[in-house]
Amino acid sequence: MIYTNLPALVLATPLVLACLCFAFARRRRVVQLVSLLGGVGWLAMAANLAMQVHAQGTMVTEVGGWDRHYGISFVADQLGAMMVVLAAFIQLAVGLAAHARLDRKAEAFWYHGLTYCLAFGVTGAFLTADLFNLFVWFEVLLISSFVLMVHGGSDQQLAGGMKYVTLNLISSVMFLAGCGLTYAHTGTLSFVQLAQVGIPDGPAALLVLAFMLKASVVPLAFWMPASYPAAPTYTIALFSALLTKVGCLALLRTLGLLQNEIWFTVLGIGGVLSILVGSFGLIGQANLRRMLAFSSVSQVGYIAIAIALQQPAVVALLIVNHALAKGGLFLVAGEMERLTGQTNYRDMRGLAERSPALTWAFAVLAASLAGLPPTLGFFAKWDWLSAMADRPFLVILGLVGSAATLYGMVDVYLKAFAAPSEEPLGEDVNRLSRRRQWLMNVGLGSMVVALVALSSSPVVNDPVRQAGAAFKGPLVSAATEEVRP
Amino acid sequence: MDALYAVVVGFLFAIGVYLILQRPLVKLLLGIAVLGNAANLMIFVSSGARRLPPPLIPDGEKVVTTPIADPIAQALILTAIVIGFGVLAFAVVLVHRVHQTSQIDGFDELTEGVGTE
Repeated sequence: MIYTNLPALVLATPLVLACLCFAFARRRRVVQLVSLLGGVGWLAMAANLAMQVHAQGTMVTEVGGWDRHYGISFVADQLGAMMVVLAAFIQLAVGLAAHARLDRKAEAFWYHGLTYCLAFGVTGAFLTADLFNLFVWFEVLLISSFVLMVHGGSDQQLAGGMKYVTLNLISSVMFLAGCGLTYAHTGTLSFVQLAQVGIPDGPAALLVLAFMLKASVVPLAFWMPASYPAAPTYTIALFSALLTKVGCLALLRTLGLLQNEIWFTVLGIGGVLSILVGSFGLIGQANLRRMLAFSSVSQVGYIAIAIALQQPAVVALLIVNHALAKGGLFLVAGEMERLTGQTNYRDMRGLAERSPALTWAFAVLAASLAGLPPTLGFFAKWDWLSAMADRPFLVILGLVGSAATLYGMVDVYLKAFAAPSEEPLGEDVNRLSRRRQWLMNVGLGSMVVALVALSSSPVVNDPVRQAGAAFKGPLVSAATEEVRP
Repeated sequence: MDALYAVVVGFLFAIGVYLILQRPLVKLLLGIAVLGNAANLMIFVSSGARRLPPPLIPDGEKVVTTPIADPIAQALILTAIVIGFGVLAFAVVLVHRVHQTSQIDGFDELTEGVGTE
């Protein structure tokens, strides 16, 4: 274990970028430059952190020199560092797409700065080392996501945002009450110390419920299909790629701290229900966005079961795959809606003729989401099934869930892409300027390329697996490793 | 005294849940505010709400030897109050805006809309 300021530096970068974006809010070009160049820089820093953590072991920042069990501290273990790289990459790629789609008025209302505030909260939640700070980081990312959710302010967005805000506020209260009771029972909030004493059942119930709601595990998942589809697609791409993952990682980190093992079973049952509800929910959705939201519920089910069975390597693969594939698919959905002017995918036609590149992007992302070989999704699902090999019920469930996703994706392909257009192809409905089109291509393309690069062989997706496998419950417990400067 | 506080906390939670289950959006807001306060009071009570001196180390000592009030619980509550205030302010504006644009007052009347960008 190494004491260094690197984790705090990586954490502070998005905050600095957000401040810069707010400071220059009136100068559109400056904001674009800051958010893109800054995003590249942040990604480089996060990658550097992940490589150093991989090479030298867990890194710890103790803010103000206070001992990490008493003061605020940030701990970058392999899984946390990998998640930060993922967040930085998604932020950059989806940011490019947002640059392509945002109109001037929306951009002037601080959109890019807000996304960096969101990234700040997400990074903090990945790197924090105590329960109450996790609550604070959740609030940072939630308040940013509230604003992004209703950014633009259409009626639907406000209605969707209202549901999102209400449910998240209630879960925040549960989280806070859980934190308070944990402290009252154990006298500590640090993950490492909590792992030794264990969180008793009362606060454990509150915490598990709160995290299941944030991760959108059934029966606490229905807010997602109700609220996500209302926001613009580049915003949903960011949310679906990052926010549910924060909930999943919080579950992974805290379940091992609970005294009672029943909570693993509770989460497992939630995961089973999520796969069922998500799979049956996505079949028959005419609206592409809602279909993708239901598919997220089913994918979170897989992650929840992997967490419940304590398979962190599988969790890491599933999280990376879902973040890239679902984030990318929401961007594709946005492009499909833009090109056809329709929101119901059965009314879209002839997209394969109109945009072959988009068709390829959709095919790769959808294959990985459903878990077809040789994509990253296949390796993730394969590991998942291997881990469940002695539980035939879960194997069958996993295959059914995958089949449902595949059915949905093939249906979209046949109706929206392959079906020939009835009218001759005219001009695109909402044509983007060449510069914007280029930004969109780079943003979406980089997500597809990242997914393909990670899929290309088990050798390349090994770092993800290793990062997951290196996860040992609570953050850095071995006191013998400690080397103080 | 603790028992009384415990009953008060339970009562506040009950009021909060009841208000959230009401139809008007304004009652929803009040419910969220009450719930937040209930959680804060619960942290305060569970850490022992007694009259104790602040956690100051006397001159010439290394550690405090007399009983002190737990500063961590107070720090938690202070943080939670600030966060709760900010979030509630946002929720108030959001409800106002929903009412302004769509003239609705009930949660169930919110449409299951899909954005169009």
